[in-house]
Amino acid sequence: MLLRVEDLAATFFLDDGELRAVDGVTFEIGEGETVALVGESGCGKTIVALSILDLVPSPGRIVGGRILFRGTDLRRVTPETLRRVRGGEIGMVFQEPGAALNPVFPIGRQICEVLELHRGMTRHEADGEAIRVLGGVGIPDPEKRAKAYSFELSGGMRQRAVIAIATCTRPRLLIADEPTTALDVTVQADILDLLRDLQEDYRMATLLITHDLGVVAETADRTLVMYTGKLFETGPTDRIFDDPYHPYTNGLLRAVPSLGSGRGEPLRGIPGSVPDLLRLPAGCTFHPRCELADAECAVRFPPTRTMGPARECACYKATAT
Amino acid sequence: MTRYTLRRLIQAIPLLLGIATITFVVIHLAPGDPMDMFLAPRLRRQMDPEVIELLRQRFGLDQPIHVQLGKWLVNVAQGDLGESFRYRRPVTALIAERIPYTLQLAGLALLFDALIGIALGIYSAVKQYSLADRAITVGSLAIHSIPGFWLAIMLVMVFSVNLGWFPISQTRSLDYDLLSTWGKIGDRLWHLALPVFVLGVAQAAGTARYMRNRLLEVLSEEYILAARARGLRERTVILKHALRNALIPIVTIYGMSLPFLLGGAVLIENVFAWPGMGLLATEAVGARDYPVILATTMMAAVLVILGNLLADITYSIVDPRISLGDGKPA
Amino acid sequence: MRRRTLHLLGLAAVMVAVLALRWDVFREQWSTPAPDAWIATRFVLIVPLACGLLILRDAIRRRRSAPSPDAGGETARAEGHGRSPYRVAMRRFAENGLAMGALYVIAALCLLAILAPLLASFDPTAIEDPVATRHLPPSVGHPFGTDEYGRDWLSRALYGARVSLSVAILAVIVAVTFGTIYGSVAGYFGGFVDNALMRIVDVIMAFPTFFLMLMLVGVFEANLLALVLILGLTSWTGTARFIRGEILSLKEREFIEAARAMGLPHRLIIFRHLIPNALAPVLVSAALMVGGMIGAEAGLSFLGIGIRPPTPSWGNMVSQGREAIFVAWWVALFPGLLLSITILSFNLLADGLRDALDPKTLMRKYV
Repeated sequence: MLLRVEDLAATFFLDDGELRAVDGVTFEIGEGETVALVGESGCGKTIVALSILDLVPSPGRIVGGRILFRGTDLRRVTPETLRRVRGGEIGMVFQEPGAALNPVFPIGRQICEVLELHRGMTRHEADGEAIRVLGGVGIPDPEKRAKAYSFELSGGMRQRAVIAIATCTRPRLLIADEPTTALDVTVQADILDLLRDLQEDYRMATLLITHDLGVVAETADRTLVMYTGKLFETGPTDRIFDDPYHPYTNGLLRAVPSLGSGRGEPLRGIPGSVPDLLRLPAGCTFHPRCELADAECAVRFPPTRTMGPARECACYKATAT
Repeated sequence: MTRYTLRRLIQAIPLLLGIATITFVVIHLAPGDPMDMFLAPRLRRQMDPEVIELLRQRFGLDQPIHVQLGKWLVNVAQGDLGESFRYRRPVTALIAERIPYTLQLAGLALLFDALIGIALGIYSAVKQYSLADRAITVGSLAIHSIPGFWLAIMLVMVFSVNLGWFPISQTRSLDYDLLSTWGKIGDRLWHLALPVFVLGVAQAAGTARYMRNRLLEVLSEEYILAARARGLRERTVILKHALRNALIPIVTIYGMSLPFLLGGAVLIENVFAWPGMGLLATEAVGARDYPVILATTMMAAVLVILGNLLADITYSIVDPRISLGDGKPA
Repeated sequence: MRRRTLHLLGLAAVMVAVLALRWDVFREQWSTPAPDAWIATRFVLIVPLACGLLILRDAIRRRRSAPSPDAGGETARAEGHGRSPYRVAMRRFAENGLAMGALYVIAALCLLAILAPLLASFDPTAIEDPVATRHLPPSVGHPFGTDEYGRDWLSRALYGARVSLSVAILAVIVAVTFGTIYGSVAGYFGGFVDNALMRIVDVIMAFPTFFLMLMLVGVFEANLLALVLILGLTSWTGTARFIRGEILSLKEREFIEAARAMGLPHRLIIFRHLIPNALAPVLVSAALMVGGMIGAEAGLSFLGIGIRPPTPSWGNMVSQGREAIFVAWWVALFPGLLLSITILSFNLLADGLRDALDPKTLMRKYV
């Protein structure tokens, strides 16, 4: 098991109260696997990603759980080791393509920096490798582009550059936090293809964080559905899409309009809205919006049950077919 | 980059003209005959009517106002600002003598401000909310609030009068000429120490606060998070990635602090009998030496404009978005 | 409400205390024709009465709305979700210890200045026995010592407070008023008018403010009124620029479009919608400016070209002290200390106002 996250909990200590952004999340990622972490905005998925690398911004903090990367708990390693893992064995790609690039350094330099640090290259070697890497992510004319600054590149190229920085060290795991959300649809497809190619070439596992179910369907082996800091459902992507167990997953899938649906058909959202994380409903946090909910659901958060081969679900009302 | 520089140079010209024009307006708004601005009343009684007439023509004082303005602007551009009533010498020569001293003072103060202010600001930001941070934040506000001239007097009282560590005033010791070259430099620096400190420390306080806020702003940007996610050492993240971004607007801040630096220099020069432009201006006010008053004020404004120009050009070099991109800052 | 009552009571109590402690001086000054004495004596009587009336009014109001525990209004207010943004800002300001402290200090200084005729034990300008009382160090009789003419330094400092504070505050009023009008005109009309007006501002801003003041005072022979005008008319440019910017951006905002769409006349748009939004930061900068004005006036007076003796101003008092640094350290120390404390208080006040009014700091909690 490449990565095993057990009972991860991260809380934000605000003036108004304690916000439990991640509240007992458990999942695994195998070598070379693509796992999608899905959920609406604010459900805590980004915090899960940041937690793995211990980058949760204050006033937030990891308050519990284990993060086992290749058997070692990342919460218990020395800062030196953590530094080496970051960027060296686990790479991260962010949502805003330009924001992850330092605006005052040319992108070539930013790649070299990582190469010199994690792969021990000299400046000269790194320069050459950087150009190669840029070419590898599909940036045309890489020699010239290496000297460019981020503001000189288009959104798609910036994201490619960010992916280049994250993957040039051949990490075992790539965490991609909404890598395509800020890009045009056509560019999205290219980026996803690029990620898939890199994955195959480097035997790299990917934790793909997104709220776009279309992307999930195309690229993910397994899917994790998250809501208000907890996982509602996990399992192989095609099985989940074919036959969702959790009413929330069902709602999400139903809300996606398909190209083939007839005109005049009303859009079907999930009634209600995502609750304020400081004032969560008692019991199952979804129950006020759930059509299957009853009195039992308002008492205690449902435990996660195994409902089939590699499928888990946290719901009292879910039925396995 | 040169195109930007050229553009800024051209933009500075109307400003310079504007300064001369405003001075002209002041000359004419002053109570009494505008002639009094160029020729001391008491001298006028002693002079030949022909000479007075020549002066009138030189400044076009009996001509319509726009002609006068024209003549004035031409005179200023050529460096003819009249004669000091007190010293009976061309004002331009007087100013040329005094400016180096003011520039010395202001320049070193700026250096002090830069080094100390930025260092404190960085420390403050990195150790946010610590005791040191709070102390620096409150302390810098307190120091910034102390009137410079009073701080100078207090320091002189403690360090010069009572402890004798620093000289009380003047630019050099009495035995200056007998010293070696190194001795001379040391002596000058010794005399500059207190004035530069007082002038610089107030500025440094402001810079420290600004730097702290700016660095905190930059540290919350996503590329800093990304840099950490790449496994870079915290020291590298801060000193290389964050600082390079945070320092960029500092240049503009320094441009903006020039007026305060020059204004503060007036008071400091008074306390330390430092023979710069500020002292010249103050003495002129006391002596009603109008040409000097007007000329020094104009000169101060010119220095500010030149300083800002320098700051802008430096900024354009330092920020790649301007030099390579479309010329628009972040 | 409770907090307000406390403040009013405190103020009234202080006034009554002053009245009690300085009763004989009060009797004496009551019939003096001098305007400052008149103001001081009336003030110390009127203020406690006004406080009492306000407390009464609040109590009556509370009685009227108290019977039903108003869950919505009361708890909402208690939780800090007060109705108008001003209320919210005031509450946040009140919670800022440093800022409130600064406010108290400033209030105390203002009170000291207004009540100076009652509080000063000596006539600040009277020279009685210069030889015997010259340069006396601080003592019980003369807490701040005496100067070279034997004048009580504390009394002079109290009167000096009046001058320094009033000049500064009046100058700020001039600067802010002029700047706001100038900036509003430029921003609202835009185009050529805006361009021309702003070019003028650019040129004026090139002059170091202190130099400009120096020049104008030098050329125009400043009396007190002229000094206030000069201080004010050299410092309006920042406000003008800012207001202009705000007006320009607010002009295009949706709620202005909405107001126009509803047919609101221009005048109402400017006064009821545009200016109040731009006002908050102006308040902050006004507070900062007062500090700056106090410093500027002190500087000019120190150089001998602002407020001239025998009228006391903290600035010219420091100048006196400078002559005497070898023999009488207290002459320079106390006025300067007062200057520093006052300027610091205004700066802290400005900081506090900024934190209270800035919507961004509200958001900081949730990031």
